Amino acid sequence: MNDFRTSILPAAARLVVPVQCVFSIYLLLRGHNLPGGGFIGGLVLASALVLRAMVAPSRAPKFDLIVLSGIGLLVALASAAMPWLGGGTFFTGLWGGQIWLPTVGKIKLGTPLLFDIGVFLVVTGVAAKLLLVLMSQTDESDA
Amino acid sequence: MPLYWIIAAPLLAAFAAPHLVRSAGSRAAGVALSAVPFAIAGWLLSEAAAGAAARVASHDWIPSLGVQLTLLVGGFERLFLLLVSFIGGLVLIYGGAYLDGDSKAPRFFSIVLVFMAAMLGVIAADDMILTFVFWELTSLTSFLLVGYKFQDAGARKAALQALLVTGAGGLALLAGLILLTQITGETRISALAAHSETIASSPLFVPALLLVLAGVFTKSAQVPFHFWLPGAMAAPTPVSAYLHSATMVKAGVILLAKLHPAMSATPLWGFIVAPVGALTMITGALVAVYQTDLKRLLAYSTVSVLGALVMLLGFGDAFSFKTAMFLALVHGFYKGSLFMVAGTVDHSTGTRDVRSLSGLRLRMPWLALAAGAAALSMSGAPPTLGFISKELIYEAKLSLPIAHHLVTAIGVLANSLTVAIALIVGIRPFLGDHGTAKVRHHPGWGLVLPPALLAFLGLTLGLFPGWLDAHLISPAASSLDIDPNQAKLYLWHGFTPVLALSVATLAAGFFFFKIRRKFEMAAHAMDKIHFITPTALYLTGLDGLMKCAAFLTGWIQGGQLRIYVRVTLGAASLLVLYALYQALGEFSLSSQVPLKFFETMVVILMSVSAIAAVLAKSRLAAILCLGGVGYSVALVFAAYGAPDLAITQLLVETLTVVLFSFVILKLPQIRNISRGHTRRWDALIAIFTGLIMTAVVWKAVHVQMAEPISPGLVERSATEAYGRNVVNVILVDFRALDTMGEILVLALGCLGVTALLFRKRRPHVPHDRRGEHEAATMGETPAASEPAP
Repeated sequence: MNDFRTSILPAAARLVVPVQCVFSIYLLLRGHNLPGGGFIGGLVLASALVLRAMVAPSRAPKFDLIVLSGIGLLVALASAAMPWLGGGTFFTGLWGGQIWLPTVGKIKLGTPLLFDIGVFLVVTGVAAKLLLVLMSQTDESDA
Repeated sequence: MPLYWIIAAPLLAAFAAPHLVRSAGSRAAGVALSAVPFAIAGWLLSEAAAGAAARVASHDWIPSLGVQLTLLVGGFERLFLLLVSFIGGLVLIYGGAYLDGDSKAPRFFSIVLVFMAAMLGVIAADDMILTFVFWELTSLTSFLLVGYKFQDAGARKAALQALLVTGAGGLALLAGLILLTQITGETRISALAAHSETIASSPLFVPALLLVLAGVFTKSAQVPFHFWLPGAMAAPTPVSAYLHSATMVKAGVILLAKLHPAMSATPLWGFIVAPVGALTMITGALVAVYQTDLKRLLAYSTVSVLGALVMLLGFGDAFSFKTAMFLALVHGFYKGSLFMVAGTVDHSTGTRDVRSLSGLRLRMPWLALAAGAAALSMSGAPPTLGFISKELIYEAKLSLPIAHHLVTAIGVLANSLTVAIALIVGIRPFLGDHGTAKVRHHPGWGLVLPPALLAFLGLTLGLFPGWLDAHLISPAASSLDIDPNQAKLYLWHGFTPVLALSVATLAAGFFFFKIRRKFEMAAHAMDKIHFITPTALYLTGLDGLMKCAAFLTGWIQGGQLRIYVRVTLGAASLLVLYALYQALGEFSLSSQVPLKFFETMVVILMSVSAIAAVLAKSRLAAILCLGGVGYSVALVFAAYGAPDLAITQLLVETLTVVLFSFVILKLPQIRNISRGHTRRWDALIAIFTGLIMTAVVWKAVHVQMAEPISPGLVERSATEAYGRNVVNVILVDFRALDTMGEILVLALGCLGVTALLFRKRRPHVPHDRRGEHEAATMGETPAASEPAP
C-alpha cells in the first residue's frame, strides 16, 4: 500500500481524522432529533480509523477491533435488559433527566441512547475491522 | 416421591457418572450408579404392590402451544417403567464389569443414563410433544452408543443407519401426533381414547394412522425397517442388552399400546398392524436361525418377538393386549439375560461365533446355569414365564375371528424357530467338549450375576403367575380401559389344544436345531436376491442422495464469486417473475407519479454511471463509476426527504469504493477476467434482473396492501420516545429488537469474513479456466503502474 503514502494524504489526514472523530460523536448524540445516529456515526468513525491506518500503518489500532463490536453488543443488550431486570418488558424505554450539550442541544438520557451507543460501537468495529483486514491481506500478497 | 424425579435422577446421575468412573473405577461406579434405577424400581414395585392409583404431574412448558410437561404413571406405565429401571440397574453393574479398563467407560455411563432418563420419559410422558422429545432423545443416545467404538468405520456406519431410520420415523411420528391433536384438540395421549369415534371418522385419520405407524415400525424394527437393528449390534454388548432388546426397541410397541384405545377400533388398524407384525415375526425367526454370530442371532430373534408384540396389538382384542403386555415383560427378562451371557462369552473367549464355542460349562458353570435358565424361558418350556406367555399367545391366536388357522400355523413355525435359537445360543455353546475357542480369563461376578439374576427371576416368577397378574399385568390392561379379566395367567391350563401346540413347538424346535445347517445353505441360495433387500435399498438410496447433493452443490456453489452472483440473481429474478405473472391482471402501465426535473436528472446520472461502469476499460474507472451509481441513489433518498438514509448511503458507498480499490487493484485487468461468451451470458442475466426489478418497482407503486404505518410512528415518536428523528426512533426504540438482530448479524458476518481471509491460502486454479490464470499473472505488472488516488 505504498501507493497511499504520498505526502498530501498524510497531511490531510492529520487534520481530517480528529475532526471525523469528533463529528462521529456529534452525529451519534444528535441522532434522536436530527439526521444522524449510531449507525451513521459508527461509519464515520470507522472511516477515520481506516484513513489513519492507511497513511501510517504503524499507528493502526493495537487491539483487535472486533472486541469493540463485542462491547457494543453487550452495551446494546444491557440497554435492553435493564428494563427487563426492573420488572418491565424487554426493550421498554427507560428515561432519565435531560442534559444540554453545546451544538447538539438538549438530549434526553435513557436506554435508547445507550442502545444507540451500542450500535455505534458495533458498526465502528465491524466496518473498520473488515477494511483493515482486507488492507493487511492485500499487503501480504504484495510481499 | 415426586414424579419428575424418575427422569431427573438418572439425568443427574449422568452428570456425576464420569467423575465417579474416573475416581472409583468402572466396576465400583457401575454398582454405585445402579442404586438410582434400583431406587426407582423399588418405588414402582411398592406402588404396584399397594395397588396405588395413577399418578399425574403436570407443569406448563410452552403454554402458547399447549405443550405441557405432563407425566402419567398408571398401571401400564408402571409395568414398563419397572422393566426399564430394573434391567437398567443390572446393565449398569454389568457394563461396569464389561468395560473395566476401557478409557471410554465414562462416556458409556453418561450416555446410558441419559438414555435411561429418555426411555423412562417416553413411557411416562402423556403430552404428545413431550413424548416426541423423549422419543428422539432415545434415538440420539442410541446413535451415540452404537457408534461407541467410533474409530471403527463399521460402527459409525451402523450408528448412522440406526439414526437415519429411527430419525425419519420420528419425524413421521411427530406429524402423526400433530394430526391427532388437530383432529381431537387434545394434547394428552391419555385423553385421546375419549375421542376414538371422532378420530375414526375424521378425514385425517388415515394419514395420522400411517404416520404414527411409520414411527412405531421404524423404532420397533418391523419389516421392512428391521435391518437397522442387527446393524446396531456394533454397540458394546451391555448396550445391545439394554437398548436393542429390552427397552428402546419396545418404545414403538409401548406407543402402539398407548394409542390402542384411541385407534384400534377401526378395521384399518388390524389390517395394517397385525400382518406387518406377523410378517416381522416370521422373517426375524427365519433369518435368525442361520446366523453364526451370537449377537446377530439374538438381534434377529428380537425382531421376531417385536413382530409378535405388534401382531398381538394389531389383533385389537383385550385378550391379545394382555398377552402382549406379558410377552413384553417375559422377553425383557430372557433376552436381556441371553444378551449379557453372549457378552460374557465374548469377553472371556474373544469370539461370538457359535461354531467355535463348545464346552463352556466346564470353565463357567454359573454362566451356563444362567444361560440354560434363560434359554428355557425363551423356548417356552414349563415352568418358566416363557411357557405361560406362549400358552397365552396360542390361545389369543386360536380365538381370532378370522384366519386363525393361518395365524396359528405361522405362530407355531416362528416359535419353533425361536426354540431352535434358544438352543443354539443358550445351550449348545455350554455342552460338549472344549471347543476351538479358549476361555482366556474367568469372568468376574459382575459379568455373571446380572444375567443369572434375570434368568433366575424368569424361572421363579413363572411359579407365581397370580401375583404378576394381579399387581402388574391386570393393572396395565385396566389403566388403558381394557378388560383385565379376559386372560388369566396360569402355569397349568389343563390338557387343551394349546398344550398340544406347546409340546409340538418344542419338538419342532428341537428338530430345527438339529437341521440348522440346512438353513445356512438356504441362506446362501437367498444371497442371489440380496439387491432387493431393505438394506440394499437403503444403501442405494443413501448413495443416490449423496451423489445428488454433491451434484447440486457443485452446480449452485461453483466456488467462484461470479457463479454465486449469477445463481442468486437468476433464482431471485425467476421467483419474482413467477409472482409477477400470478398478479399480471392488476398490472398497469399508467404512472400516477408526475415526473420532476430533479429526479429525471438523477436517473440520467445513474444510468450513465452504470453504463460507463460496464464499458470501462480500467478497473479504477469501473469502481468510480459504480460509486457514481451509489451516490445517485443517495441523491434520490435526499430528494424524498430521507436525510438519514442519504447520509448512510453516502458513507457506505464511500467505504465500499475504498474497499473495492483495496481488492480489485490486485485482480487482473477487467478485459482479461472473462471471455466474450461468458460476458454475453452475464449481460443477459443482468438485463433480465434489471427488467424484473423495474417491473416490481412499477408494480409496487400501484399496490397498497394495508394502511401505511408511518404516520402513526411519526405521531408517536416525539410523545412516546422523546425524539423528533423518526428514523432513529424506529431504529433504537420502536423496532429496537430488529436492530439488535441486525448488529448481531453484522458482528457475526465480520467474524466470518475475518476467518475466511485468514485461512491459509491454497493455490487454486479451476481446471476449466486455465487461460485466466495466465491472465492473472500477467495482470500483476499493469496493476502496479495504475495511478493511485
